[in-house]
Amino acid sequence: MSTLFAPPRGRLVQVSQGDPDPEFDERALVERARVDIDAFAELYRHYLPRIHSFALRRTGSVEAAEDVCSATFEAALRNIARFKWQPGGVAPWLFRIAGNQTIAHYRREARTETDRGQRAMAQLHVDATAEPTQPLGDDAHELRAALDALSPRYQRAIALRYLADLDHGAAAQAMGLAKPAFAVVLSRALRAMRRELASKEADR
Amino acid sequence: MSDELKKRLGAWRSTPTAQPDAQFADTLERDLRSQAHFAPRSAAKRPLLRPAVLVFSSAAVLLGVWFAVQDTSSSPEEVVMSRPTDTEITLPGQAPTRPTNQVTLPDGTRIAVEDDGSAVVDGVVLDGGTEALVEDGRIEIFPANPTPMPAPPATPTATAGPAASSLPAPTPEPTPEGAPRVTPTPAPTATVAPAPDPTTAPASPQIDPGPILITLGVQNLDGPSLLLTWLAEPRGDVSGWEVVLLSGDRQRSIALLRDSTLRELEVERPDAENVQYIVRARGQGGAVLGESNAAG
Repeated sequence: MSTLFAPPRGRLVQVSQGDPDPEFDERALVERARVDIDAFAELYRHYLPRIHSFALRRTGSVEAAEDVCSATFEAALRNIARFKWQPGGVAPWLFRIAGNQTIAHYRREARTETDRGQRAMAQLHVDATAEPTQPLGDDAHELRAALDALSPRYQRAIALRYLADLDHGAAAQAMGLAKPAFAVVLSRALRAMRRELASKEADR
Repeated sequence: MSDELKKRLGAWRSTPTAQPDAQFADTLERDLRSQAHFAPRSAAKRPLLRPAVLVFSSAAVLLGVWFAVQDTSSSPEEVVMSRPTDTEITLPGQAPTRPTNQVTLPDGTRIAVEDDGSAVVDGVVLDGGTEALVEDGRIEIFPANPTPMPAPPATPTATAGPAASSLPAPTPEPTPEGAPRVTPTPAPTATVAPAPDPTTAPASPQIDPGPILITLGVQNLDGPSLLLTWLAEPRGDVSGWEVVLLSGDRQRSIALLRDSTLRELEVERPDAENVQYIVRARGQGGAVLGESNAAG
């Protein structure tokens, strides 16, 4: 069985926003992916590392990140025929799905009264005792705790802009907002996060 | 990124994360392949024209650019900018610069808040992407997108753009500072007049729509901020909004929003007690088309 992610394979692994590789014609690939599972699989392999990284930073849990990735690409497969090409490419659309799936994942988990659900709740709502499965620095823990305390809308704005590394236009597109409206949401989100961090600092 | 939080977020993003597990990636790809049931493609119908409402909105914004400046105070207040983040100011006749905290802004100062930035001017919170101008001791906020601010005043090196004198002359404030505030009579809603006989009634080319009805609400945001939001009946003659702070029997215009589509403004919670706000609808030439309830 072939292993997709053991070594980086060629140019497809070098994913970045607005893909600098001139030979990578994402638009053509998306067009084919609407009717061809091999093309969709190529798109999947292209974006999985980036979506996984986003979800892992956001949740701090490999298990949750894999759940988010599965749900994201399954939703993308179901809806790729309806995807309307935009200048930012497919990345804002995929990150929008991933952001929504992150929130949905926590909500699903929270509804179950299992240990796993309790862990998910602890991640969504700040709990200093929650033990993440992805080793992160203290600052990352602090930032994620502050981010988790914000409203879902603010969480999405900051996560898309800073954790998904989308530029301003792409993040706005991922939020389904015009750039000026996204700028407003983002600046409010950042202010709310600053206040949250300051509040936690004062509590210590 | 000049802001500490943005630096921390950038560092978080740069922290290496584990690559997706190879077995997981292969399993998910197999699952996706098994789920693939592509329907035959159908040509998507694309609208040939943008919705008329968008065209109308753009036209309304472009038409409602200028209206006269109104100031309810006898002399301009000092305008101070605090906590600027990723913000650029241009003092009259000077080059753009990064402001320091608590800098005083004279009339004619232009403010550009970058997409990720924010600043507080005279208690008014400017969000990312905002362009504003200090005029007559208050902040004027311009549409973020289509309508540019008026050109800066001529400087020794400036060669293009209209001079600041092209701004319309201020309209005298009908209600001087300290005078009792006059609330426009609300539009009659209960009186039913008999319908005129269409065969004998004189032609009436213009109908006065009456004062616009505005309902203002104030919401506490996290921290030291208030969010003023207002509802207003949709009217094409509104070109912007004026936000006025009431303190005792004093009133002061704190912001002029030159964008009829805006319906909210974030302000810092004032230190003084018994402070309220009102919002006025402004039309062409600075005419007051209506005034909200006082809320605070």
